[in-house]
Order: sequence, then structure tokens, then C-alpha cells
Amino acid sequence: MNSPTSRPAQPPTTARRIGRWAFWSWLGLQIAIPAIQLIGVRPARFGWQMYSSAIVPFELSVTLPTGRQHDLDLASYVAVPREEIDWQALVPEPLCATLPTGTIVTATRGTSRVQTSCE
Amino acid sequence: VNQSADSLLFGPLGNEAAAPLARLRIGLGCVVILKAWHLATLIGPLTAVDAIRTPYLASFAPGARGILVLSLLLAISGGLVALGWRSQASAGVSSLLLIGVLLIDRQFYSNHLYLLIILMGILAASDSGAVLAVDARARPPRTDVAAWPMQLFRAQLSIVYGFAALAKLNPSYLSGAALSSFLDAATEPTWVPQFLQLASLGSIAGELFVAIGLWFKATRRAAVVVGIALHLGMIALIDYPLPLLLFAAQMLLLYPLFFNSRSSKTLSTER
Repeated sequence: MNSPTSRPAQPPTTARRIGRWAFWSWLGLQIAIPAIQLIGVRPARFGWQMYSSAIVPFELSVTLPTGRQHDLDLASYVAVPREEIDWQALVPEPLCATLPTGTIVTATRGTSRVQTSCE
Repeated sequence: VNQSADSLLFGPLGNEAAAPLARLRIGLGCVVILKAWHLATLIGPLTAVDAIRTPYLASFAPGARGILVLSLLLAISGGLVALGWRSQASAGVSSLLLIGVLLIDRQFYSNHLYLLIILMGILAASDSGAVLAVDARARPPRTDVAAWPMQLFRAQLSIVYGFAALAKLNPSYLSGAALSSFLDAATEPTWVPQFLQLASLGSIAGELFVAIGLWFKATRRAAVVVGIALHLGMIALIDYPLPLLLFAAQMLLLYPLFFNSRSSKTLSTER
């Protein structure tokens, strides 16, 4: 074991420089990533933003070519309905693949509403 | 600054006792096994006939069998980490497998998974098999290991708690609305708004206190109590017990590193 008194002063070697550079780079990265994520919409990934903003309700419905409308539960179609995933962009296309042509998929998140016509 | 950095990395604080790091290795290995089990529980919902998958790459979207194999490999690597068999390589493999899990599907991201990748990455760079490990049987006994990985572990803990608190400094959370939306989703009772607001402010103060308090001897024990209370409160009130448990386990496993006697000098005046 090296004690403070027994360890002689050493000039920095290449290995020490690399080690120091690696240490501070890693630490800088771990601070920079969540710092950058604070700027955008929350919750953001890689930002340690657990439970930092209210859940925005996501509603999904389909209107069949016959005119009948059905409400769907996102949790019935996905394994983990995570809050930060853009479901409005990701859900309509695979859902349309299972529905008749002409069906309209409506995905609503808060005040934002996206309608997709299945073709 | 350079002198301080050198001191931190290679100077008087260049080495620390090996046992706390070994105990952390054993704990994290067990968390990896639990994570493998958690991953296996997601196979059914993700690969059901009418399930919607959200892969980053269409070419990398393994089916049920592929994810099961990944879970098994993950569990094995976690077991090897816990046993301390080729500790560094096993931790590196665990970290890579966890990155693989992250890349399978957007739905697989979680903060506990991201944290586990980082911690296993640091573990892969540390000499965590110096004691309490299969590795230790084949080498001369050592009681000290390099201190810098432990400094990274400690810093990571403060980064997580610190940014968790900073992210909560927004009107939605400060008003209690965010907390209400999570609690209402998990529990029946309607919460009193004043209580929610107080709890929101308390959780921010608590996270900041733990992030800073663990570094100082005077506040260390109180920080541990506050940290445990925060995690227990979340597990009890919010409706995602296993992911929260995995997250809490990782964070709590880092606490003992702050009690390593030689590490107490880190931010104190001792040189």
C-alpha cells in the first residue's frame, strides 16, 4: 500500500496522462449528457429525469370504413408504454397493417392529435 | 487543478481497500441476474401476435427465442460477475449484453438499464476481483486496489441524484401535478394537493441532499437514511415495483463506497 509519506513525487508519465484524460473525459461525458437533456422536452432519455413531469394521457381510436369507432388501449399493444416514446409516430403504421383499408387511426396525446388513413 | 486530479487518481488517494469494491461487484452481478429475469418477463408482451414493436433498426429485432437467449446470456454473465470469475471480462460482457438489450427496442429503455450499463462499464475497468472472487484464488492476496473506479462510482451516484433533482425543477413537478399523475395511476386515494406539493419539494431537497451529503462525514449517515426513505417511498407508492427495485438496488449498493475509511479524505482537507 502506498502511504502519503512513503510515496515519492513522480513526474507525469504517458500512462498517467492517459489515465487522467480518460477519467475526466468519462466524468465530463456523464455530466454533459444529462445537462444537455435538461434543455429539451421532458422526460428525456439518458437524463435521469425519472418522474419529473406529469403523465400526458395518450388516447388511441380507430374509425372503421363502416363509420364505427373503437377506442383502443395502448397498453394492450405494446410491452412497455413509456412516456417519452413518440407513440403518435410509431403506432399508426403497424396498427394499420392489421386493419381494413380506409380505416382512420387517431392518436391523441394531450392537445396534439394525429390522424392516419390506412391504405 | 492538475495537481488535485493527480492526487485524486494517483497520489495519496491512489489506492483504496478492495473489499467494498468486491462487495459492489457481487451486488451488481445479482442485479444483472434480476435484470435478465425482468427482460424474460417482457418477451410475451413484446412478441405477442398483435403486439406493436418499436425497434431502432428493423434488421435488429430478435424474436422471442433471440430475447430468451439474450436473457440467459445476461444471467450467466451476471452470475460470473458475482462469483468474480474473470471479473473484468465478465463485467465487460455484461455491459455489452445490456447495450444489446437497449438496442432491441425503444420500449426496453429504462433508467435502471442505462445506469446498469454505466456501472458495469466502470466495473469492467476496475480490479473488482482482487478479493471475494474466484480470480483472487489464483493471485497473490491484495487488500488495496486503484481508487479511481470507486471515485467514478461515487460521482455517478451524485450525478444521478443531482440531475434527477434538477429535472424536477419545473412548474409541473413543483406544483405537485406530476407526482399526482403518478400516484393516481398507482393508488386509489385522492391526494391532498398541499401534501403533494410538499412531497414534491421534499423529494427534490432529499435528492440534492443525498447527492451532496454522502461526500461529507458530518452528513453521510443522514444522507443514507434520506436516500433509503426516498427509494422505499417510490417503491411503495408507484406502480412499477420491479424496475424501481432494480434502480434502488443499484443506487443503494453504491452507498457503502462512501464509508470506505480511506475514501473519506476525498473531499476533505486531508492531503
